[in-house]
Amino acid sequence: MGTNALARQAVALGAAVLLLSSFARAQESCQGETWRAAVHVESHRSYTESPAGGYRANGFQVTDDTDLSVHAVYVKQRREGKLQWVSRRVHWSGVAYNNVEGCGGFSCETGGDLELRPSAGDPTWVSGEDAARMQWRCRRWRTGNCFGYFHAPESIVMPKLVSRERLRGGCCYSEQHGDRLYSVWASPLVAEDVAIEADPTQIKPNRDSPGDNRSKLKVRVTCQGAALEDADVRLTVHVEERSGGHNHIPDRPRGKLNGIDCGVDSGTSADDMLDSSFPEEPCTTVKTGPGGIAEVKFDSPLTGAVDHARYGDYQVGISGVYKITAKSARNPDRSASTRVIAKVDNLDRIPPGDNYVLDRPGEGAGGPHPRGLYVSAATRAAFVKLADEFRHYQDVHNAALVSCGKHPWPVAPLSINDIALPDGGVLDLNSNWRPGHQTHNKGEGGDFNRFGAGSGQLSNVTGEQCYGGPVNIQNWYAHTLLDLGTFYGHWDCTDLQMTNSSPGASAVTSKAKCEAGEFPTSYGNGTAWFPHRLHLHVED
Amino acid sequence: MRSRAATLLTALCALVATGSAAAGSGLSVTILRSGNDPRLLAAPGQTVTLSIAVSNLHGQTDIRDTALTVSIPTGLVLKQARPVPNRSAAQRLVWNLGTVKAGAFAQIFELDLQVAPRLSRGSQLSVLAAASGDRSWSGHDAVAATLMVQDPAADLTIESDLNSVPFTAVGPVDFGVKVGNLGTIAASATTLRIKLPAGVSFKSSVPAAAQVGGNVITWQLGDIAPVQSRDVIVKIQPDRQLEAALSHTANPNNLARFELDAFSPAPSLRPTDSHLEIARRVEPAGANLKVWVNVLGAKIPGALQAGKDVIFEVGYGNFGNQTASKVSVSLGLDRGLAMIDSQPPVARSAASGQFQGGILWWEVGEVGIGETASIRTRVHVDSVAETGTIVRAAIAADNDAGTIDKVAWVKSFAMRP
Repeated sequence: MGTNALARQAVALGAAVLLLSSFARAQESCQGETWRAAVHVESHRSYTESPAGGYRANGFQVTDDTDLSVHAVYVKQRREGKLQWVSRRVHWSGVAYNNVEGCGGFSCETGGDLELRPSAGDPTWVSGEDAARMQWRCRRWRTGNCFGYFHAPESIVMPKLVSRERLRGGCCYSEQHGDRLYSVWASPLVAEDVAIEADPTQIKPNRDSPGDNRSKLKVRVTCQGAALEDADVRLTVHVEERSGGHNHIPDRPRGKLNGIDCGVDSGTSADDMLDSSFPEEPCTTVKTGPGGIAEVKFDSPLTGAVDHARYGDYQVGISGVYKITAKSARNPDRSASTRVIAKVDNLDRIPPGDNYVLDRPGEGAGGPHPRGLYVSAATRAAFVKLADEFRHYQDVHNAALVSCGKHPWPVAPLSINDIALPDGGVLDLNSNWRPGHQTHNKGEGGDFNRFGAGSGQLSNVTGEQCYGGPVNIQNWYAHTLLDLGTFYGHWDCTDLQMTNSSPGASAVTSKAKCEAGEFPTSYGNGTAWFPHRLHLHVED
Repeated sequence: MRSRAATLLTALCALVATGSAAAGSGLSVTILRSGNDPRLLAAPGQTVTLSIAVSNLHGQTDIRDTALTVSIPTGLVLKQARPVPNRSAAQRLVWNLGTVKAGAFAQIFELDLQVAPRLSRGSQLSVLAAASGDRSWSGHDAVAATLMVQDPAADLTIESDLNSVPFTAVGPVDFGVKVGNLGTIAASATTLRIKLPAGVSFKSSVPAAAQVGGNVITWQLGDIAPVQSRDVIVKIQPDRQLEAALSHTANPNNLARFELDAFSPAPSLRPTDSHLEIARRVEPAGANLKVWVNVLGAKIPGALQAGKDVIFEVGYGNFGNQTASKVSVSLGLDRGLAMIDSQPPVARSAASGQFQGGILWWEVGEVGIGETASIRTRVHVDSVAETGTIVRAAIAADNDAGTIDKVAWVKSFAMRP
């Protein structure tokens, strides 16, 4: 945070104090006072240091950067005839970097938010447990021999208050010593509390019917329990990285609040950030009504694509964990968050089987979708039966070959590729949050590999038959699988962009036939992807 | 010998078909493109091989007088059919199959078809295959494979897991790049070029780079046939100052931006497919656990009613880049709150001066990357503190590298009329 940023923050807080003054007149029931105290340390130093011990004749070249902010809000009210600190909240964040050339260094970060217990005495008192949370997390390195030469980052402590007499204009105090800015603001008003609850806390990522991907949020603003009407509340949404089975990070949609698109996240969300030079714009602002409550609708993001299932069309969405934060517009340090999880229930990873193999590139590794073999119970049962039957027919066929004096063919297990992510929702092959791989949203069907087609395996391998000439066994496996699969579901011809929806398509190649599970294959006008796989719809 | 084997084969198949879970439905016809490129896509002048199969795998009765008829559209020229059809005239081929026994496996027919040289891009050529016999049946009696005509061009594509690998300053970052060709001809002399952002240095790669010039690295990948690809594994190192600059800023422009491009002198179908941009922040190496608290069944947020039960749902997840190990979750209950039960059960509990309703602990073991779970605790509300009753959840692990949302709380006041 630069000096300008500090100045901007001071102005913003000053403005908040003015707003609080007008608010105080309207809310005379909120008797009490709020003190805010902040310490900002920002230092960037580069110097030569010669510690005792004579490690190096010319001393060490030291780089030392610290950016630490600790901001506390203390609320004072009269309770049982005595003034008490009824609310004490602290927010801190910081980074520290230190490198002593030829010796070592550290890179630290810290951050957190705590509501402390009320206190009848010192407002800055912190329990041992809370103090243990207000610590740096550091990574240290050593690059040379300088035993005993030790640097440590700035301690994190609760900002103290000043006496009322030292407040300028009855409200404000600040002092700056070098790279340390200390400030206090006092207000004759109790800072409000913000609460938020989501109902439900788990929704579906896909929208089969209106409201499937929606959670209703209730935000409430109170003044020590008394409802505050007409309070503005700013709402933001962030989506947790790597949630929902998506390891890919950039440009992830956040969803909508009251129909307003809240944009995308590209890495650690601004909510997690320590740099208040870039304060986050809310997705929307709402006003509390009776009971101090504002109601807001959260919709988890949809991809814009519609998938066709036998039971009807549905809109494809994105699974994940969505964090919704409500902040008081008057006191941005008063906030509350909830999380809504968008997931398809009851998907389990398909277990290893005797007659099938799991051959999904990227599974289990650190790729964009490391877990893509999740399936519903009914589809899992169908896959297992199909694999058993496919194996059984090969055994029968080989027995016949042996009986007529021919070599048996190698047994090909059913080879399973993409099914669905652990929480369902779009399995975006191109990692762009848009469908590149339809029909993988609920674990109701999945892909089978084509016995090496596309990878160069088996393409030219032939097998002898009891009668007739030799045949390409890769094709024989695929034809047999296609035949057997129709008893467990229908083969997809849209998944791999094989729909022929052009006007004048023949009855057999029409889009309707294709979606009904016919297996004429034709390409649409999009990119022709590698159709290494055959997708079997079981339930959809 | 041949006759006995065939008899055994069909008899065995009949047994299997009888025992099948699904009812038999008669002949089945299926079509595939044969060979290493299974896409129904070809350029003018190219030859493709279609594989057509007729079976009676699930049939429960023999079907006599069976024939397979294949209609080839104008625009496709038959170069060869295997086996030779019994009849052929005017792009129509007929094979007499005689009696197809119940349970018969696939009989395969192959056609080498050449796309006419002057067909325009987007033309669709449907090959229709129909089976007929002495009785009618529902299902796969006729199918079509429609070949899409595409320009004779390469179509280089780039995929990379750089968008998902842990991008940390601890140790090098390994990522993969896959350059594929979705076109109809080989992409000759293909080059991959990666431009690294400032503060990121190239360490090594497999295969070795052809040229390293500052922050631009190139690889020569040779010719890439249709539906084939080449993989490159790259090792890079973000420097520590980049970590300091990019890991803790909300500035949306402060991202490390990578550019990946693939080139070939061959004609290109969609040049945009061969360009990829990925922007990342430097992230800490490790797990990143977060915890949150929902109050289920509370009619009014932030309000509790004395004498009632309420459920506190503690949700947690790991949104970092490593599995979190030895994870423990705790829930501190303020004075006036008493746990009734919990799912999963509490591992241990203790009295606390700070949380006089007790602190509850759960040892949840490992939490995988991106995984979430929840703990539901039913609590009886005896009383609500005038200054607000606090319920606080916390999470910890051996290898947690994150800093925020390790503690979550709800503060509730007594419900007022």
